[in-house]
Amino acid sequence: MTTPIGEDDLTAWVDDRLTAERRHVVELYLADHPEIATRLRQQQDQRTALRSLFGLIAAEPVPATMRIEAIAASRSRTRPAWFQAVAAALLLAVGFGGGWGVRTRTMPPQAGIGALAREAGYSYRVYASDAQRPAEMGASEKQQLVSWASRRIGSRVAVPDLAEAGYHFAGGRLVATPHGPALLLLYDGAAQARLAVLSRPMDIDKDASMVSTRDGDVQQVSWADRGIGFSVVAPSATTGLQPIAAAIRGQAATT
Amino acid sequence: MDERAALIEPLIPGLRRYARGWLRDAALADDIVQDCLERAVSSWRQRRGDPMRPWLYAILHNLLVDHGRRAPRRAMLVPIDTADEVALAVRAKQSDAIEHGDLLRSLDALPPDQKAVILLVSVEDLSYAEAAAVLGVPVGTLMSRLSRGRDRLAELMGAGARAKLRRVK
Repeated sequence: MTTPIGEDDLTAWVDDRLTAERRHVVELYLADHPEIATRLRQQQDQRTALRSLFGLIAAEPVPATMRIEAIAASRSRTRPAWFQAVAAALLLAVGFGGGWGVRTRTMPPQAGIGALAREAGYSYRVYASDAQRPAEMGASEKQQLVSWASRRIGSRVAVPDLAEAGYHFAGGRLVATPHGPALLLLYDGAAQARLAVLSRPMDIDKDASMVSTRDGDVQQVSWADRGIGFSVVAPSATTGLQPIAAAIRGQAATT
Repeated sequence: MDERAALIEPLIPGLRRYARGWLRDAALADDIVQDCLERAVSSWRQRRGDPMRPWLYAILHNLLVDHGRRAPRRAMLVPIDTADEVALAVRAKQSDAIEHGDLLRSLDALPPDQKAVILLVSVEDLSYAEAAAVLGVPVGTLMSRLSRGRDRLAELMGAGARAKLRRVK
């Protein structure tokens, strides 16, 4: 007595994963059932076609960024920044003395900072949703981006490190605002979440405390220090934007 | 660290191929593989005794599904005719190219569940048990999904061929 032929036998026959014994039984069955045999042969042809179609991709040389050593090294390099970010966040938390929540809710966006947040929102919608080429210069051209943007904006800029918050620098570009050029930095987080930081010199509100705003599908945290305004933008569902903003503010203060 | 590289790196070509089976944009597919590898390194300790291959493919698969959910419109912006050529390094004879184009289009038209099984088993050569672990379904479910997917793919290919004949007439 043999076990009856099942769909699983037929599937395994297509994949050539049966034992020699079982294959023999299946082939006897197929000889008696020509329509099923035709169907399975077609599936086998398909399988061969798919393998040849995708076969060459696996032969392509693997990008250097995918070396496990490179990935591990870039993770450990970010550790000092982690301490810095936490230290900055702690200092800020102490400084605000818990009055933070009240402050952001009761303070209406002032003219300068409000405009900055709006500009950041516009740029975010245009560039952050771009899957192909969100940035003019990628993460590998960070140094060139920094010197170019510093020259155009007329003030020294830096690229904050947000690795510990789970975001890595993806690239940046200059964007136009009614107040001249601004630098837009893009960061990628887990599961395709994207965050942007816009910065430019401020005419008014040269020093302004942090303000949270929300505009439809995006939220912003904006502030200004020593004449430079910053606005961090993320989708409104993102949590933990304020500690990230605090980390950026802390890093900017130490550079 | 050496152990991690020794276990993960041999699987990278296959992971890239799997991502490319889902996405016609090669750069985007590689970005997602990169994300997968970073996650694998950062959550290495959570792996415990899980076998390597299904563990990695599961991370990648979930990222791909997430991506598909998040950006269905973005994916549609790539015109199919140019995508066939751009996304695949295969530059075969003219007739092969046409057949490959049909096959890709039919593959893209499959429900994601069926496409995943076909790619994991037929192209990536995962065992039925491994593929079932990646997708989080029992082996029986996996096998019937595979068989249904293959039938559906044949139907789609047949429909494409018929449409072409009609156009020729």
